[in-house]
Amino acid sequence: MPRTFPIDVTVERLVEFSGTIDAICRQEIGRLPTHTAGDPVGEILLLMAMEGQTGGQLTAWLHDQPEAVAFRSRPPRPAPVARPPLPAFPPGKYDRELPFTPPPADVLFYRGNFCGVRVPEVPNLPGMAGYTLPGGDKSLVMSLDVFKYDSVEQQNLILGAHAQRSYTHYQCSIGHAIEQGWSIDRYVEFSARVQAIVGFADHWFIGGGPWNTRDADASFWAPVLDPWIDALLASGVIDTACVGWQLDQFNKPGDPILSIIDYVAGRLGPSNIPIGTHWVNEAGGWWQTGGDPGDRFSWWSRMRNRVLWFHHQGSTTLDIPTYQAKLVDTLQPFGDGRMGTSGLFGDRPFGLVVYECSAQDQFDDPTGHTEDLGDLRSYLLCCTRAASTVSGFGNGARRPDGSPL
Amino acid sequence: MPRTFPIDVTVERLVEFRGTIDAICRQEIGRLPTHTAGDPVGEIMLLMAMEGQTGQQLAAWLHDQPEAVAFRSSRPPLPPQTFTSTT
Repeated sequence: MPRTFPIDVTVERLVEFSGTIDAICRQEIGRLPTHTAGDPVGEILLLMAMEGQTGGQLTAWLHDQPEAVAFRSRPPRPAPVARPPLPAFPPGKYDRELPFTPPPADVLFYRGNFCGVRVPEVPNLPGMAGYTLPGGDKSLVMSLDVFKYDSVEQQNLILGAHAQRSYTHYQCSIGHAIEQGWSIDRYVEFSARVQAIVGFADHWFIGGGPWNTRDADASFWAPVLDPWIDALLASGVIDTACVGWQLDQFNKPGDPILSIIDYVAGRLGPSNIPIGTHWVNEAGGWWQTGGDPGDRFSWWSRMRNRVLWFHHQGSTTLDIPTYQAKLVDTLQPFGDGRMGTSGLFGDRPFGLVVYECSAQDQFDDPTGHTEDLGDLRSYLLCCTRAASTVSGFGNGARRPDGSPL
Repeated sequence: MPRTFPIDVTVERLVEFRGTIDAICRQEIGRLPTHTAGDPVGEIMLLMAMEGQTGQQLAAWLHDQPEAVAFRSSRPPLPPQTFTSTT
């Protein structure tokens, strides 16, 4: 059935509508449209515009939608607080100054601390760092611990501590939420508060809590993850995602793990969600010996149009010069083109996020391995010079003078 | 001036078109449309879709554009397969 619109729908008008719709969505619901069947707000507004409605009418419609009402009633974001300078640098010859200018708050530059933020205002609970240690620091709250707290006020205090440090990304580990008995609806509501208080909700899928089934592939995980992904997309409360924790610890290399990555990319890629992976022992992927891909270069070529970055985990005992040298081994081919490019977000190079460089030490000894030392170690690793630079940090960081990085 | 399209342009069809266009752009030019005046590839293809052209026709049009030609000729070759590393 043909359809007639009262205006002349041209390429120029469609570009104009796209910009207007994005601006209205940012203003009224604090996010961009995802252009998916579960979240067709962009298409509803586009149809209204083609039907001749004005920007004011589009805004008025969206303003009255439940998501916009909820957005206006979101909790306030705490103001950043001044932090002291970093501790003295460790000895050694290494890069000590950032080789790049970090962008303003940007979903594509990861600023987070999943393992080191101290929140003395909330109680230390079973399973948390320091709980079984007599005396000492009991204020470390890892991001995954937030689901242990029933109180929304206490959850908000934890999120607020990240905002006060000017971090923009908060790691939300779905498996750990399930472990604490959380439902999808409760998790979605929490994710909206993450966005309101911290900024970007970074969802980690398999590998946490009961989501640790060994040696499975996408045929197993897809029906498990689909309801959660559907709900996160429909509510617009997912900004970035990680396929899972330490993926080389409970999966199979080659086709099984590739099928899981492909599945997550297939679900989230069309909504422009940046996707990462996480491994152990400095790995950035896991190929099968003799397989295809069969080395790190062909692995990253295989990741094109799927993964934007990976969350690097290195040994807590590496000295900074050695750690930086190891990061160069990946940042150099990411930057010089030998790994290809992501095909995503303007065909950016693949990215390395300095994600986990002191977490185990902070968990094992939260008194001796302080948040300051974690920030220092992460900052220095962000100083690594190569053909590309890091895509952010997940282990906390700040500049030597204490200001946000 | 009113404009008539030969298909029923609905919210559902617009969502479908968007997904198709993004997929074609990823395949043919290795990136998503930016939806800006300087890069209206997404809007050109949306208009083509609303005019009733198929996904194959959209892909064929983009395939012949200079950016797609350049994209196909600029993909870096895979490096030698002898390199081994854990990273």
